[in-house]
Amino acid sequence: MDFKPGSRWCSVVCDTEVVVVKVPNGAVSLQCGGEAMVLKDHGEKIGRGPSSDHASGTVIGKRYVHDPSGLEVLAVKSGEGSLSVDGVRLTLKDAKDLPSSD
Amino acid sequence: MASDSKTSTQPYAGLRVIELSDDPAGEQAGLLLAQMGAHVLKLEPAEGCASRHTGPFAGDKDDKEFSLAYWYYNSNKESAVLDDTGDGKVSRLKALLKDADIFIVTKQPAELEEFGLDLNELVELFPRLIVLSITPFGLDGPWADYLTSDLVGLAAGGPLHMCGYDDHSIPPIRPGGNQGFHTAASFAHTSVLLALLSREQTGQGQLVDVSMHEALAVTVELANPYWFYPRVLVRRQTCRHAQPTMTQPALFQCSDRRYVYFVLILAENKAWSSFVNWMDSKGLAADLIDDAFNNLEHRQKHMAHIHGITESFFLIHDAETMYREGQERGLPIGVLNAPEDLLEYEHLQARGFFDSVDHEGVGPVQYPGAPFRFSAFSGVARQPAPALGSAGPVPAGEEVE
Repeated sequence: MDFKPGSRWCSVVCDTEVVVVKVPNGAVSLQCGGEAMVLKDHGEKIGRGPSSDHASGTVIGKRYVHDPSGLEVLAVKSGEGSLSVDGVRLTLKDAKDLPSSD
Repeated sequence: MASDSKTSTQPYAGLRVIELSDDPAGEQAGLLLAQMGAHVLKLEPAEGCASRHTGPFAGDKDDKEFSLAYWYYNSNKESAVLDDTGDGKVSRLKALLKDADIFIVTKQPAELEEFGLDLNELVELFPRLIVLSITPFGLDGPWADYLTSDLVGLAAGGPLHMCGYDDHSIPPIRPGGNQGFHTAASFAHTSVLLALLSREQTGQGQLVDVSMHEALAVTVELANPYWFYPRVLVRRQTCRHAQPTMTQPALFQCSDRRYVYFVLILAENKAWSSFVNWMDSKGLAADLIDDAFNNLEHRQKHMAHIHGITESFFLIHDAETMYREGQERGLPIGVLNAPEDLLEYEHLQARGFFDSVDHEGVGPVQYPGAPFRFSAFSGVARQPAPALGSAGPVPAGEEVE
């Protein structure tokens, strides 16, 4: 998978769509719902939902990271599947506790 | 662009300045006058002033004619050696001051006494002379002879407390570029203009006592009013004004590892719409296009969420693109340029901001130009800083009663 900053990846088992924010340091396979994601407009849905152990959902507007590789993605569309790299679940990046602005 | 009505006159043409300064505040004050046409004669000891011995040096040549600090601060001046040993130095100086408009001096009280110079006496002897004293702490008071540096000035005066990063495990950081000394020089410039205006009306010069410490004490933005009124201290922040409580970060890294500075004022509906539309045009607005975010309170409550998406947005684009696209959309965004980035910047090139000055033995050197243009005055070409004593020795003068 050729990750570039700004590249869009879509789930083949749900509506999840993510944008790469930070590229991984090495080759990894980004999955959603247990299936490899595809570059936007470069693949079709496979006609079933996410596998049960990868169905915790992805939330729009949240960032997810894979610490070992440094891969970071921003979810621009929500979906039922959860994100993983080589089977390892991505973690939700903590939102900074910011003061409310003027 | 300048009109055709320019005269051949330079703003300070005709002003005669004698400069006896040995720190960046005095030298910068002299430069501000010289680069607008005043005739500035810099008096130096036989070994040359302190800035001549301050590196770095052009071509790494450790020589008093190759100091870059000396070059910068002393363009467009002349240099004469005032031998500060022996008894004749004061009479020589007074002979020069007899015909001068402004005398810039940075000696502190103990130094003045050792030199044999009484600034009040000078004003009495030469009624039209403006004596511009620029010292670390003023000409009187318990600290009048304390030593200083740019760092000491910024620390004692208050600005240093407000400079640094959000991470307060990192101590305050001194801003670069001699800003402490230059603040003093800026106040000195203003004050000498006021003294000149006064002299226009009264015919009288005066002694102007500029304290770097006091100049810096009033250059602390909101720190003073916050203390005077609600008795609240401000806290330093990364790339933002110090505030009593920490505010949202405004610095964002981009894909090319450069940074942009972007202030998103949530209460500004027009800016919010413009920003969301911008992100949405690239498919990156995520849920910020939801109607709920049209409500200010909702935006304030979800500031961290908005900030996370904003960070991502900038991280996947280069800084220059973000700067130009954001500016086109009327957003308050700027790109962080290192000094070396500015040399090739198209806007500065188009305005001819940089002056090229030819230095013997080195070749052409780029200098920052004047940050102002006058429609009624002619410009002042930047000239190399003078060689030590190139204006000749200061002659012995007649005794001045």
